[in-house]
Amino acid sequence: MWLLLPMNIICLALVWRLLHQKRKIIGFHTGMNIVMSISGFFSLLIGFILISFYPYSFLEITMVTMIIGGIAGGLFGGLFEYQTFLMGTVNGLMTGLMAPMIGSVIQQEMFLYSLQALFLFLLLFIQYMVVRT
Amino acid sequence: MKIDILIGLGLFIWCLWLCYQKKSLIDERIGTVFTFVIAYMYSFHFAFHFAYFYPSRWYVFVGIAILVGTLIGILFRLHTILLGISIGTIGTTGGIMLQITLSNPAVCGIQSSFSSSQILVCSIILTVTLCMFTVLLLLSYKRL
Repeated sequence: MWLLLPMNIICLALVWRLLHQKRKIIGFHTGMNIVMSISGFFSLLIGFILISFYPYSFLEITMVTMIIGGIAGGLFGGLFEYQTFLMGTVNGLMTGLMAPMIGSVIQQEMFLYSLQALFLFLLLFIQYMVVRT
Repeated sequence: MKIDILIGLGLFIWCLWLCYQKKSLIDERIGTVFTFVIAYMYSFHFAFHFAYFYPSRWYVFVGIAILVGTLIGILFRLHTILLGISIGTIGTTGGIMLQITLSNPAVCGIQSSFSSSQILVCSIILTVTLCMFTVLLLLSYKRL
């Protein structure tokens, strides 16, 4: 399961690079939806993965997830506008706050794997959408 | 609880039908807002009620998140599908969280417990909120 963490970061970096190249031709609404999806899903996954490894460090994991989610949202939101930057950061922070809670309640690996599959599908979908734009 | 699910299902199908009918009048901005609110409200509602009956069936929740988000998002634009799925997932996790907190508070570190009638009242409040939300949505459709 440890592999999921670097794999997600690498996938996210690749998508960020693609979005950086095409940021001039992506509209505001599309950009906003991309930022919200990525920041929400990424912080949810990070929270799930980290809390499954350190179930007794709830406070630390919540803080780390919040920071990572906020940074990821800010990085993606910063590609487009100040509004998307704000939205991405806040969404990442809020979902990061919620993710360890739900991770500690639902201790099912299959739920995590299905979320992971959904996240990868969304990243592929974003790539398809951006290339079509 | 089962009646609440049926009411939610009926309202959701009605919302989809309304959106489908006024599809040509709904632009990108309104489509994004509609996808956001509908995916959030309905995925939360369905997850809350399904978690009461099937608390350990993870695939039901993932199914709700994908179905609700995709069905509403597909009516407008390509990027609204993306928004629908992600907001559907966040709404689903919120719904599961609330149901687990109410039915098993000790898991979340809450000392007191909630009776089944209190859970029922919460469920009714959710359904009434959903009905009010759908009426508001209908009013906004009429202004299009």
